[in-house]
Amino acid sequence: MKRRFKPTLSGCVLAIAVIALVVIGPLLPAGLRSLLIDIMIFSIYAMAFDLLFGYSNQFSYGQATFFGLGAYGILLPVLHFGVNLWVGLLAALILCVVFGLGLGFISVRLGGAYFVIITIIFNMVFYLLSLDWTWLTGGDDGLTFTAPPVDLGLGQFSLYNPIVNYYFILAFLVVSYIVLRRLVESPIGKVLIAIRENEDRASLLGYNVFRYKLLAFVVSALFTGLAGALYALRNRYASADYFSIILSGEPIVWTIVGGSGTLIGPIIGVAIINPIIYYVGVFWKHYLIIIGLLLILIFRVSPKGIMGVIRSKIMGRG
Amino acid sequence: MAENNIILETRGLTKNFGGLVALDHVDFKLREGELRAIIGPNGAGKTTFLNVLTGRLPPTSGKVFFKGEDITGLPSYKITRKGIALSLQLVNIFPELTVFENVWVGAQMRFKACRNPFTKAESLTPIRRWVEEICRKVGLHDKMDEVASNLSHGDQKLLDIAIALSTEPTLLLLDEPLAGLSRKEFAEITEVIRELSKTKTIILIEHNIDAAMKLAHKITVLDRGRIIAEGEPSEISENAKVQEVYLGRRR
Repeated sequence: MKRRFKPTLSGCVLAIAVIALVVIGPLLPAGLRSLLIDIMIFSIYAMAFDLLFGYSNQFSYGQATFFGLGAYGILLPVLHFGVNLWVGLLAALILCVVFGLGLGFISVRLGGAYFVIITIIFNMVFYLLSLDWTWLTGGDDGLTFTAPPVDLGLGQFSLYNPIVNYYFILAFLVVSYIVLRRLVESPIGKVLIAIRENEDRASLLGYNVFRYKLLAFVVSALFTGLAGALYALRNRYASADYFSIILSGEPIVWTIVGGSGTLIGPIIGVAIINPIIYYVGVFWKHYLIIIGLLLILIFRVSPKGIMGVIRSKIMGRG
Repeated sequence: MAENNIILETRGLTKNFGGLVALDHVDFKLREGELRAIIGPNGAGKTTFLNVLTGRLPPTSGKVFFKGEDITGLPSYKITRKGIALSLQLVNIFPELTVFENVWVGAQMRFKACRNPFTKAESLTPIRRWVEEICRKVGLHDKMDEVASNLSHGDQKLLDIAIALSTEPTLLLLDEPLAGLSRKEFAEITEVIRELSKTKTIILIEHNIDAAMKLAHKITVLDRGRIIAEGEPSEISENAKVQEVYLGRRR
């Protein structure tokens, strides 16, 4: 049957990438493995942002709200009530869905520039509260906790073992990718793309645009929260910095560099930006100049990001 | 014809923009299967009429009934779901999507595909067939893989109509579909509208009076928000009031 939808990177290429990650995991030097873990966590965050911005055209500058909520959502129950890992994770995700619905209900309806402004405001409110409420969040110093073991029914694995940590995060990345890919290729995903392209027309076709945009907002909050929870688990720590506005800006850069509306693009963005921060940032404090130049280069050469180049050159579609 | 054949009715429909009366107590009835043209000079309230019918603008007063049901004040997406589709005066498509994907979005609504959130859209064969059928109907079947923004203006107009048709509406509202077209495109789209009128009820807003006269079963003339004449094309062309509106008062 003739293919009539825009092609995506074939599952085969991605399967090979995952197998490669599985194989090289134990062979890597500790520093590089640690970097890869960061990249994998931030890839989930980047995909969540892409669902919001790249698929439903909602430019949020406050996604760190949910990153921080996810981190504290797992940290606090584990720290205070000693719940196991899965309960903690579930608590974090529920917290993000609840706040996603609440904040989304207010902000999604506004749309456009108002949406950007209100997401920044929400982010700042959460950041300032987390700085102020030291009894709850530990403020700037943050809180540390003991990561509970991963119980898979077969036995317990400690997240203090870097290899276990690596595979644990990789599994979440793969599942997140599959779920989000499935969503954007489903009929709902097609509606989100239609809303991105022409909201008025989508509404004229009988779609309740607000409801679909809210759905994208909540799902994005959920996966952002997952990334935050995994980041807290990996560091056994969370602080007010997890709500920082800088962290809200990062997915924007990843998505622009990699190419929005592709899911894979933002992952490529993380995989390019974070090593620059990791390797150059340690000996040159002005490393952001490189990222700035890279952004200018991307805007000049391929406004649709790296995936734009791949799509037009390799897959024959812009 | 019997009253129960009436598919759309407005009673005292009024729309004010501040001090400007765009629609002034419009009483309008449309029978099923009819192709009705609405004509009138600039600022007569034609487009406002469609916008109020489809819920894009709330009426100041008056009622709109579709198939006997009061749909006044419903949001536009709910009105669309009842079976009314609108194709706007300015091309209103999904520019970065292909022709196929453009039509697909509306077709999904017809098949209520979003109830299966985790099905792969591509695997939904009935929708695929329906999209292909719609594209064939408007003559875009050989351009299904083209990105909409690359199409000519005439093809974009056809695509706009195709998108409107994809939800399988009972009533199709076309706002100046023939404006700004080349002679060839004009003939093509006129033919498409003629074909569609065999199976659909259509309201056609048109500036080109010749085209409206040729296509429509019946014509309604609006002027300054009021219906000043209504009847068969031959009656309208003879109507003194209409001549006055278009040509000015005889001295």
